[in-house]
Formats: sequence, structure tokens, C-alpha cells
Amino acid sequence: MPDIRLIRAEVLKLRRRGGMVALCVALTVAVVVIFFAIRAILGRDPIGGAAPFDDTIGLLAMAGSVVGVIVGATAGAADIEAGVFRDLVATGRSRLALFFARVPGAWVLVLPILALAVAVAAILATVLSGAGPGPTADDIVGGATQVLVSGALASAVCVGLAALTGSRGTVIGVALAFQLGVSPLLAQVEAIGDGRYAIPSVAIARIGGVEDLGLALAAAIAILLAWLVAAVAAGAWRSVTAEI
Amino acid sequence: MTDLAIHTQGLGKRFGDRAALESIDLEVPRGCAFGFLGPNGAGKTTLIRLLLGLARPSSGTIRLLGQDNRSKALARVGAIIEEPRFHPHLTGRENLEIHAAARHKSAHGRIDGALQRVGLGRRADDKVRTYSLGMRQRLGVARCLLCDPELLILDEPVNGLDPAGILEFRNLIRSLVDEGRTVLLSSHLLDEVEKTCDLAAIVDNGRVVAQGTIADLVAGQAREIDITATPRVRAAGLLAAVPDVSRAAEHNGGIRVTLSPEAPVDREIVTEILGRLLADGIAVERVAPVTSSLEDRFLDMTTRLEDRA
Repeated sequence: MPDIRLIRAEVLKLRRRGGMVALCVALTVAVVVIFFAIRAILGRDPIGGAAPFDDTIGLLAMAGSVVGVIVGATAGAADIEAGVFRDLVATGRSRLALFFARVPGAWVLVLPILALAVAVAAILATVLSGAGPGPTADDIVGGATQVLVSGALASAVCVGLAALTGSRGTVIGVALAFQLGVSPLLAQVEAIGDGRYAIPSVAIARIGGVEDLGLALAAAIAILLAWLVAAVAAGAWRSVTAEI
Repeated sequence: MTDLAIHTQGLGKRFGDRAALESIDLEVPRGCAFGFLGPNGAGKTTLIRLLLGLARPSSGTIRLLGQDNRSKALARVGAIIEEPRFHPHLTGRENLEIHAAARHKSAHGRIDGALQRVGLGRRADDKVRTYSLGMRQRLGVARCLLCDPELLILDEPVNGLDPAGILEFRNLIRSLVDEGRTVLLSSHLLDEVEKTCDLAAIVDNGRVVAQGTIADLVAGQAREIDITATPRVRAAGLLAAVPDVSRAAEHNGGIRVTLSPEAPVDREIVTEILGRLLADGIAVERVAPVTSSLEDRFLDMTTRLEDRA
């Protein structure tokens, strides 16, 4: 059971990084607002509705993973980079407890921002739907699930990788390159066959309700859990065994 | 309750083929300031990392505060390891809140008191990135105090402090000892250890080469007397013949007399030496027993850099 005081401490460390929090809000809430503003400027009618909402969910799933990467990598490496981890270990507190507090700590920052962005998208898509259909409750729940799972997975994986490497910058660089560059390319390569299902974004889309991917829901969940467990276990192992 | 705050037996740490520590037997009594002295690279920080569970020993055992359970013992240990480090984007108070979260619940209630005690009450809500090194050192001590420590382990705590800061720090350490706490002070600053500590151990090349009270450590040296007399050569010859003198040699324009271990107290031997010189018609300008310092003892015992090379 994670210690609530340690989680609060993690949240304090993260939310005091004003620039990072502002960037995360800009990447999500502001992107949604800008998306609908551009549609208005281009004279699209209706500006909102179900289809634009789906588009914003696609944007937010990607932005959510970017926010997850930034916050997760920061949470995972902050103590190590600041040189504070050894002082925390010297309290006699379990290294595992110190490590595992970082994952929910990152989620406490990431998930409300993403939920807010989805809520803004749903409100704007509904209010601006005109005579056409707005997003249904199922659309909103499915979209929110996709965005939140994307952010939660990215942040947890990056907590693990940052603890493993001890470097926030390296993890952000590699994870964003994978997420924004390698992953979409791999998803298009038919030669790898079912191997593309191992790409988190495909499994996340399946969990979000996209059913024509040829991937069972249980398999999608298993793939995401495998990513989560592998990265978190690597970070936990490094945290426990490192001589600092 | 054991009388020892720290007890290590056969403690060793190897990095590959290189031994950073070899068979360290250290006994630090409770309620004292204990100096852990050694030249740079002697293994002081390695020992502290082992004590605090930051690294695993290659051999030997460690008992802190009489407990084999290190995690339980560390709950009552405050430590500064090398330069104290903090999250620079947080305030001093927030950094202590982060640390208190890893301690017992009562630690949170000690934050204000700890900040006041180290003189950071007014700067507690400033970001640590605006602190000087001296302020960060003091914040490090405040962090140590959050657990109401029975034992404080301070690694080179006065590095970077100005003379006033060093004096302040010394007084703080003595006040902590006066409260019944134990302070292990690792340092290469001999003067600091001599002025602050009751006992000390000297480590060199990964081994403890001496430990005991400061007085005992200093007393381990041969007693010497400096004499300025003319004619010098005849005086040196005369002194060398005194039964309690093992050696008399020219030194800095005078004569340095080394006494044998059986020599009587200074008052008696100086009287005897003076009597012999004056009886032989030698003019005596100055007689001064040489005061041994921890520095002399340290330099006797530890390896010089050129020897290591």
C-alpha cells in the first residue's frame, strides 16, 4: 500500500514546477481550445459535434502521452538528479516505498489535467454542435478512457525508465521519439504483422473503444500491463540495488 | 541499551580489486562528538555510505544505536552526506516537508523548530536555489533534526563555511552533544575535529590507524622540548648525555630535545636540563616544551600523497 505522505510529497515536488505544469496545460487544454478556434476561423459548420470530438480525442491521446512522458520522467528522476534520493534512503525508509510513491504522484498531476482537457473538449463539442449530433456519453467515456490510459501508462513507464537511467532528459528524448516518431511508423509497417499490436498506442486505441483493430480487449489490456510492469520493475530494481 | 552509538567489526568495502575500506573496527560511544579523520580518499565517505545503507559492505558487520535492524536504527539518525543537496525549485520549508514525509509522522511538527534553531526561520519560504552554501549546510542540519536524532552523521559539514559560520557550526554541534546526542563528524580539517570532538579515529588507506580521546591520540607522540642556547654545539652534546633524553639535535636555529618515555614531568625535566646547562656555563635564552597537536599525530600516522603515488 503506497504511503499517502510520500505521494503527497511527490505531488508537491511536481506541482511546484510551474513551467512544467503550464506546458502540460498548454499541450492539452489549450490545444483543445485552439482546435475548435481554428475550425471556427476556417468557417467549418458545425464547429463542434461528434466527429470533431473524436478528432480532439485523437489529439489528446497523443498529447496525453507527451504530458505523461514529461511528468513521469520528472517524477522518476527528480530525487536522483537533485541528489536527494540518498538522503531519503538514509532515513531508513524502504527504497521500494520511495520509488512506488512516484507513480501515483505523477498520476495525481497528469490525470486531472487530462480529465480537464477531455471535459473542455466535450463541452465545446456539445455547445458548438449546432444542428448536428454532439458527442454521446459513450463517446465521452470512451474518449476519456483512451486519453487517461494513454497519460497514465506513459507516466508510469517513464517513472520506471527515469529511475532506471537516473536521467530525466534522456528518458523524455527517447520516449517522445518513440511515441511521436517510431511508434506511428511501426504501426504502418505491415511486415511486422501482429507485432504492431505491441505498440502501446494501438492497444490504447482498442481500450478507448476502437474495435476494428483486430485486437481483443483482453489482449490490449495485457499488452499495456506488460509495458507497465516491465518499465516499473526495471525502475524498482535499479532503485533497490543502486549504490548511491 | 548499549553504550555504543556505532559499532563496526571487520567492515570492508571493495570496488573491484580496490579496497576502499579494510576491516574497520570502530566504536563510537553514545553522547559524544566523535571525529572521523582522514586525508582525502582515505575512505571516510565510503564508511558513512555503508553506515547509512547507501552501499553494501563487502565484509563485516554494522550496529547502529545497538540495533542490527538498520532501517529501524536509521529512523533516529540524521545525516549530511558530503554537500547537502535539496530540490532547488522548492523552498527550504518545502524541502523539509519532503524529507519529513519519509520520516515518522512527528517529524512534520519539528520543521519550524528546526528552521529556527539553525537560524533559517526568516528565509524558510525562499527557494533553496537562492541559498548560499552556508545556508544549505544549515538547512542540512535542520533536516537532520527532523527525526529528533540520537545520532548525527556529518560528512565534511564545515566545507565552504566562513570562519564565523564554522564557529557557529561548532557551537551547534556542542549543543547537540550537550543534549545527549551523538555526533560523528567526518573531516579532513584537523583543527576542527580537535576543537569540536571528544574522541576521534584516524583512518588511512581504508584502515583505522588509531582511535581514542583527542588527548590520548595527541599523547601518543614522543615529548619534545625546544631549547635556544649558546654555544649550541656544546649544549647539544651536553643535552644528549642527559639520562632522560633520547635525542638532541639542531632544529630551526636551536636544539630540539626528544625525551625518553620514562622522562619525568615537564617541570622536573626542564629543571634538570636547565641546571646542567647553567652549571656548564652555557647561556640559555629559551626553553619551551613542544605542544603536540592532533595535526602532528595525524601527519605521523597517515600516508603522504607522494608516498601513495
